[in-house]
Amino acid sequence: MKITRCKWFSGLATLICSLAISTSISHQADAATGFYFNGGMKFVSNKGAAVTIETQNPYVAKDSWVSIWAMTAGPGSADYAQVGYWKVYGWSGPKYFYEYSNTDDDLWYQKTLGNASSGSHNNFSVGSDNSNMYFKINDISYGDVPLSTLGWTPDQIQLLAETHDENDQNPGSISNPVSIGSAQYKTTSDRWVSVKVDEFHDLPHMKNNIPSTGSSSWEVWDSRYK
Amino acid sequence: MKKPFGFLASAVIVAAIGMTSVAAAQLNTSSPDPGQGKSAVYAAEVQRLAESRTFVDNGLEVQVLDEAVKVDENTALEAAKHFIGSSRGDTAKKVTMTLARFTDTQVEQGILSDSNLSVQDVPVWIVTFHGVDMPRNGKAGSGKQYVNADVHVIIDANTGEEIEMIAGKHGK
Repeated sequence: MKITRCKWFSGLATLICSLAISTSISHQADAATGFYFNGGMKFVSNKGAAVTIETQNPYVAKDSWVSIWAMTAGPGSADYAQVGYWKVYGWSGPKYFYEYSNTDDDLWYQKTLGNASSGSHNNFSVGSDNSNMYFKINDISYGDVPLSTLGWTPDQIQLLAETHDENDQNPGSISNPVSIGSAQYKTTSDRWVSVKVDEFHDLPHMKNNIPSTGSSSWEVWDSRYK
Repeated sequence: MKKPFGFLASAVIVAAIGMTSVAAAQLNTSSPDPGQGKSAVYAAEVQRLAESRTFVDNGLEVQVLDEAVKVDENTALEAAKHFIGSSRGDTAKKVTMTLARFTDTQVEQGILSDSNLSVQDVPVWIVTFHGVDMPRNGKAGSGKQYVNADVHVIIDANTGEEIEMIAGKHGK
């Protein structure tokens, strides 16, 4: 009798265990994917955007990618130019990158540069003179594109962390958020000025401390990470 | 049965650069003189890249390399597959490779931040994954997560370090 009960209990435990594992796997497999953002943005005519971002090394879900960047953008859905760091599934840490595009769907370039050291604070700026858009890290240019190639006029800046799978970690944790500061934009009269951005986030676990009045410095983190 | 990537990649490389199976067996070694046939193939690939819209648009200059390097083709391919991320390299319609002397003229000081890797006159392997769905970092409110494009991975031909990766398209 004892043996029978033991077998029955063992079978039940196995079943519960299997169900738990299967639910967990299914949860992982079913995680929604898309574009998820967290940080600040502002609609303003501009010739560029800049911000200082702390480098951290977030968890990236299978086949996904995570980034954080400064962007100037136009009205079209793919009118943008950005510079920052990103991490692709399979990398041990993040790398610097810049990327630009237009909505006509005939232009998209993405250049990935060297490793970005965790713990460093770097100023990322993407801004134009009268002929070219420049992508800079700590005031050193790593790339440029003629404005005539881009073909759009900036009407907003976005300074955001970005994930693509609900299981990705928004960079930062509760105890060690990513610090972001010195948010600026370049006016149409070529002056860099401080800007208070408006808060924006897509998912409940994506947190930031930008008040409703806006801010030029803030933190972002993932509330699922202590 | 699914064939391992190494086999497929070798087959694709061979097909892409038109080498014989004997030459393919020599992929593990990199000699000062890669052989006249191979040199011609590399030279043609270097010319194709130098004239490509992606390299011209992004200030990437390449020249034929005629010196010995320490990293062989297979090692460079593995490094490039790691750089492109996930198993994306497996999905390429075609993979081509060449040795070249590489300069990124748009990097103001000629050195990459943090990693201190030079991008001026560097002997490199350039591994091109053709027709890959690359992840894009978008803009809030944008649509497509992937762009189908050719991806060029630049690997230091003496240290095996990942230098740069450029993906993109210009024109419909």
